[in-house]
Amino acid sequence: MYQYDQYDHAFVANRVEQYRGQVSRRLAGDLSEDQFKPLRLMNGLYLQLHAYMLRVAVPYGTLSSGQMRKLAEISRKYDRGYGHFTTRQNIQFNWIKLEQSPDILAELASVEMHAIQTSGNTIRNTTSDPFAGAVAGEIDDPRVWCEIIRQWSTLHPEFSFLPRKFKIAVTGSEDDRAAIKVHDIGLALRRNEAGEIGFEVLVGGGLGRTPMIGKTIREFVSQRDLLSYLEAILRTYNLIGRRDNKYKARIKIMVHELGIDEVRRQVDAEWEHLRNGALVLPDEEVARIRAFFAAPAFETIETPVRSYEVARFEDQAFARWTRTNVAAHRQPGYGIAVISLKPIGGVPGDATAEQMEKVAELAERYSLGEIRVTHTQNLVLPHVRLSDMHSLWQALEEAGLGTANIGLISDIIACPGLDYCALANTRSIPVAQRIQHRVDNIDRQHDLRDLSVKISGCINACGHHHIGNIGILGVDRRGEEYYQITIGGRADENARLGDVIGPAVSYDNVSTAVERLLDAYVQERKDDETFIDTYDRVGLKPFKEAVYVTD
Amino acid sequence: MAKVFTANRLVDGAVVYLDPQGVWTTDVLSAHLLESDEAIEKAEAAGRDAVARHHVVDAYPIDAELRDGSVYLTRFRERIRAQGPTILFGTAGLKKKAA
Ligand code: HEM
Ligand code: SF4
Repeated sequence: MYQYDQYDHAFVANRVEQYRGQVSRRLAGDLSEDQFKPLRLMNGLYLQLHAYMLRVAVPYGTLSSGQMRKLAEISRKYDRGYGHFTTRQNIQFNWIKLEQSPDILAELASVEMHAIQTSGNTIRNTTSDPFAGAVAGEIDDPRVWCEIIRQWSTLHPEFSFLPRKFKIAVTGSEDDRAAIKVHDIGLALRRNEAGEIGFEVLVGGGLGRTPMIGKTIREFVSQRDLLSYLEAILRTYNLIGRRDNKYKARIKIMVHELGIDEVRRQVDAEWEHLRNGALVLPDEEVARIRAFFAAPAFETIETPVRSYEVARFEDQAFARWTRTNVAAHRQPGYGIAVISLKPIGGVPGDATAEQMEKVAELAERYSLGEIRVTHTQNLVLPHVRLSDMHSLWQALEEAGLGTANIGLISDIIACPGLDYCALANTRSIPVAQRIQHRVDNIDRQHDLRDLSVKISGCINACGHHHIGNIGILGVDRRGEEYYQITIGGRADENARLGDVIGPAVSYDNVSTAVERLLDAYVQERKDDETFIDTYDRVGLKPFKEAVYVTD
Repeated sequence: MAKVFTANRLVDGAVVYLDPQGVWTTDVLSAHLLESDEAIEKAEAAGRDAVARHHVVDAYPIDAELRDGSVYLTRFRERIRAQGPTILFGTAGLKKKAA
């Protein structure tokens, strides 16, 4: 993992003290709310429905067990004993007191964490593949590049006041687990014909009120050119991105209005000036950062691992969990274990202090002390010996963390919605819970195969509803909670926006509508087809008819 | 429609309401139900004053009525603000699942 150097330590410590001063001036009445709000937002502190909310960055989704313990401690000491993992590899604490927020930031700094650039019109926490450095077939470890981007973008003077927030995601695999096509910039590691590593660069993706899939602006940017090329994009956007209307201020609008070819022309013109300047990445610097992410000392293990196969044969529930929650590791004899934060009837993405501590303990025992946070609001133990997998799963089961549903219908993404969020139209969490209760039979869930349900409580789309196989968007109908349903969205390397199936349905009818979509799928599917494949083959009609039957 | 004046307390963000004595309370049932324009104007002035004196932030009026003798907030959002999330959370959420 990356470790802070002296400069990083001093910078974050300094920032905490600066913030402490700002908070005390605010509490003493020397700063008005208008003066103070941008300052607290720069440190991740929002005011939500019930209290302040603190958003803490988990850089590229990697946490050490010590950091996880600190998050647990913070949730217990300063909040109500739990935290919420979000779709942007952050954790949010919902019940924060302004007067205690500087102490929390100081505690975070002690484990090399912070909340800088988790809000505001800056380059946000760069997100990545939660399987980075562990998954088989990766072109390169994307975290190396995320860290390089983090260092370049943190407090970048030119990009501290962008027209709007700016989000970057990096994937190192062909399979996209970082949703790069719905980010302002998506980077996919690629190898060119000469075998060199570089990046395919996408721009202009995003969700929110105007969802767009990112477009490729350049097929291959070499490593040395990465930062100069990113700077060229950001500078172009900063100069011509619209500041007149905050709804039009994202780069996706610029790409949409000018067209990708014109944007490419302008970026290239800017890049000409930057390309051979100070931003050229020296090989030594890349090597220095890369060293932080060197593969841990894996053991040489003979495969197949007999005890693992036997346990899978003898314990059906375990076998089922391994089918959904274990992914192939690059090192023979190891596996990647995904810990579901989506038990039936729970709050998607929430973990209690005890659960965080349990995960920290299990990471130490079984995963070389490493934990990952996924954009689907789950956790990952990236390096588990297959021979330990059964014991790990038993421990997870005991802690209520052993749900075998990764990628299945109950693995729902849901934003906080009206239960917490000041911007919400409707609730999201209880809708997720109702859908989960409909399908609580785990065999049925496995029979329904891969199926993503994503729920947002308003048009801002924090719950990624546009790219859910089934997407649910809360809308306000004269003070009543209504939900617009889309189907056919996908979040992977073939990312696509869903299609609206018809008029919005009431709170009481959402889970029935979803049930009917499931019925239509089961009726129409052929062989092993998933929901999305069936949709691609048969189209909207049978699904629409199933939901809007007149009975 | 009658109104209640609400805000968030500066120090901890807690949801508060203006009571008949002009004190900010966390208890919605003690909120002052403002039934005349004059009462609303007075509360608005008190809200501005409290914001200016840095006791609360975001003071604003919300729709309310008297129901069964108590203050009832008519907007669902404001009822959630008053009562907390509609779902169980933290360890309470887990206990329920275990039960
Ligand atoms: C509760 C406090 C939150 C507030 C006030 C908030 C606010 C917003 C706003 C205003 C946007 C729209 C930005 C735009 O289109 O320009 C947005 C987008 C987004 N938010 Fe949130 N959000 C909150 C919580 C969350 C949570 C909990 C998550 C993760 C579960 C999240 C993830 C996202 C994502 C992924 C987007 C994506 C859309 C995009 O930028 O293209 N947010 N948020
Ligand atoms: S989608 Fe809307 S309701 Fe949900 S967290 Fe984002 S801003 Fe809040």
